[in-house]
Amino acid sequence: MKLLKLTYLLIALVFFSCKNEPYEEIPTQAAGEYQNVPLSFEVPSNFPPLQYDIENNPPTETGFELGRRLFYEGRMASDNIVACGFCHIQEFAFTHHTHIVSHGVDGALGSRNAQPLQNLAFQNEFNWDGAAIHLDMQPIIPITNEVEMNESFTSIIAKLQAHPDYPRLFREAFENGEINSENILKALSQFMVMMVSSNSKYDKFRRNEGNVTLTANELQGMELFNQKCASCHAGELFTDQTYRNNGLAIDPQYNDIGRERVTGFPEDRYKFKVPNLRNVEVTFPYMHDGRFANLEAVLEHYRSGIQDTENVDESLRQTDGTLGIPMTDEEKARIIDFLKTLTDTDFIFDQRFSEF
Amino acid sequence: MKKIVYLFSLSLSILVLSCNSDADVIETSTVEITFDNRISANQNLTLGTTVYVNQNNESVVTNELKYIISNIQLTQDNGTIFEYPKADSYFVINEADLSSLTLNLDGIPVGNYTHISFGIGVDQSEYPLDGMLNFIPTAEEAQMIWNWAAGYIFIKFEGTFTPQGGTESPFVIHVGSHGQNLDNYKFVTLPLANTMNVNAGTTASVMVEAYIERIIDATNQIKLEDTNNIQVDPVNAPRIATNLESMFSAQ
Ligand code: HEC
Ligand code: HEC
Repeated sequence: MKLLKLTYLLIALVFFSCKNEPYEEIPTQAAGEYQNVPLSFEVPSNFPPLQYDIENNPPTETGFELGRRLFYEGRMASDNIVACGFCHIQEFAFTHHTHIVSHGVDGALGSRNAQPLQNLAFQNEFNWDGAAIHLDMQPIIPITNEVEMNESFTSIIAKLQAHPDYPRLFREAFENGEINSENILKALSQFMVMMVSSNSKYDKFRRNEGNVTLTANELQGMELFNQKCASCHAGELFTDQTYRNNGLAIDPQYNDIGRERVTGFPEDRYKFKVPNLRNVEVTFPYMHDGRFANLEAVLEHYRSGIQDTENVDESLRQTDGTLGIPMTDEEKARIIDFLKTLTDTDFIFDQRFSEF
Repeated sequence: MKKIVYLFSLSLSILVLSCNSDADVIETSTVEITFDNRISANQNLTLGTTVYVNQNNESVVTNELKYIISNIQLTQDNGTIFEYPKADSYFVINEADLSSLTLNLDGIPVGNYTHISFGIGVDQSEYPLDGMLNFIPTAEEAQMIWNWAAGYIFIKFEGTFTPQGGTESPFVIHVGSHGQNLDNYKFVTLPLANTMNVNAGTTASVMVEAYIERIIDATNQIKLEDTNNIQVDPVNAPRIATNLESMFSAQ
C-alpha cells in the first residue's frame, strides 16, 4: 500500500519536474487551493454583443464569490465601513437612494448620483463622464477618491492579508493566489460581469417567452418611447452609450462640466452618458445629480424643462426652434407605464448578488 | 526495502533524463539603467534651485519631476530584440527619490546591445493586460494615478516661471491618457552611444539622459505665460507627449 503511494508520488514528481519553476506543489482540491470552476455566461438572445473581454478574466465560482465578498467589504474603505455595496444597493438595481448625491467616508459628499450596476459587461465606458475605459479599472476611482472610499491599494492589500479568510479566498480564486491589485480588480469584475438584468416583463415579451404580453397602455407607451426617446436611449440596453446634454439647468453648486472633464473638449461641456433605463422604476432619484425624485418629473423635464445651455442636444429642438419633446399628459403616463415593464425582479432579488 | 530503493533510483534517472531542457538555456546577466535628469546635455538639474531660460525667455525653476517608464526592450547588434517581462516593466522615475533613478533588470541574455527602447507612460490600449494593474500601488505612492479618472499620470513637471520683466508664477504639467480618444503614450527607441556588452557575472550599465527643457521646447514650443496649467488639455497635452519623444538620449 505504502509502495503504491510512493509510486504515485514519484510519477507525479516526474510529471511536474519539467516546469520552469524549481518545484511545484501537487494540486489538491482542498480548501485554500486554486479552483477553476467556470461560471457560464450567456448573452441574452435580445442583447447586443459583449464588450467585456471575458476570455481575459473568465468568471469562476471562487472568483465570483471573492468578488462578492470584496464588493460588500468595508475594509476596502479608509473608515472600514463604506463598501461598494453601501452606495450600490441591490434592491434599487445597485443605486443609492436615500441621498441625492452619494455619501462616502465620514459623510463626505460626492457630486454625483450613484449609477445602477447592471449589464456592465455590455458597456464600453463607465461613469457619467466615461472616466474609466475598462470595467477592471473603474473601481480605482471610488476606492481612491477622497469623497468615496478614500483608501489606497497598498493599505487594502495589507488589511486583506491580515484577515482570517481573504488569503484563502484569493488562493482559491486565482492561480497565483496573490492578494494584489490586479486580483482584487479582477474579482470585482467577475462579480460585476455576472450582474445581468435581462428578465423584465419587456425582455420576456421581446423574446416571446411564456406568453408574456404587454398591456395596451404599455404597448402604446413603447410606441411613444420609440418615437420620442429611443434616439438616445437606444436598443435593448436603452442607451446608445454616447454623451449628450439633455438640457438640464446648470446647478451652480456643482457646475459639473460632465464629459469635458475627461476629454478637455469644450464641445463636451455639460454632456453626460446617456443612462441605460433598465430597472428605472427603482433607480430614483434621476439624472447625474439626482435632481428629479420621480419619473413624472423626468418626463415633465423633457416636455417643458429643457434649458438652452451650451451644447444642448440639437435633437431636442423642434422645427420652430423651441426646446422640448412635445407630449400630452396622457402620453407621459403611457411612457411611464412602459418604463415600468423594464423592472426585473429576478435581478434585484437574485440571491447570488446579495450581501448575505 | 530494496524494491523501494530500486524504484527510487529508476525514477530519479527518469527525472534527470526528462529534464534536458537545460541544454538550450540562454546565459543571462544584469543590466543597470540609470536615469540622469538634466536641463540639457550640458546643464545639471537640482530641484528647486536650477534656473534655466526657455525659448520664450521665461526663467524656469523645476520643483517636481516624475515620469513613468514602461515596456523596456533591448536590441542586440544582430537585431534580436529582448523584451523585459512586461508585468515587471513599469517604473516611476522621480527626481526627488534617488533610489528611483536606477533600474536593475535581471535575466538579460548575454550579448552586445546597440539600442534601448521604452514606453513613456502606460500603453492604455493594452488595458488591463500585462500586469499593469499591479503597478497601481507604486503609482499611488508616487501620486502618479488620478483619483477622479481611472488612469496613470505619465509625467508630472511642476515649478515656477518668470517671464522677462514679469513676476514669478507657478506652472503645472500633468500628462496622461484620457478616455479612449486621447492616447498620450509614447514609445521611443534610442541608439546607445557605445555598444553595451552584457556578460555573465558582471553588471552592464546604460545611462539614459533626460533633457527636461525639451518637455516644453522641442517639436512643439509651449509658452508658460500662455498656458501654465496643462492637465486634461486636449491640445497641449498631446503636444507635450510629442516633445517627450525627443527628451531622451542613451549613453
Ligand atoms: C460613495 C458612494 C460609492 C461607493 C462607495 C462606490 N460607488 Fe460606484 N459609483 C458611485 C457614483 C456616484 C458613481 C457615478 C460616478 C461618476 O459618474 O462620477 C458610481 C459609478 C460606478 C460604476 C459605473 C457604472 C456605469 O454604468 O458606468 C461602477 C462599475 C461602480 N460604480 C462600481 C463600484 C465598485 C466596484 C465600488 C467598490 C470598489 C464602488 N462602485 C463604490 C458611488 C459609489
Ligand atoms: C438627446 C438624447 C436624449 C433623449 C431624446 C432622451 N434622453 Fe433621457 N437622458 C439623456 C441623457 C444624456 C441623460 C442623462 C443626463 C444627465 O444626468 O445629465 C438622460 C437621463 C434620463 C433618465 C434618468 C435616468 C437615471 O438613471 O438617472 C430618464 C428616466 C430618461 N432620461 C428618460 C427619457 C425619456 C422617457 C425620454 C423620452 C421622453 C428621454 N429620456 C429622451 C438623453 C436623452
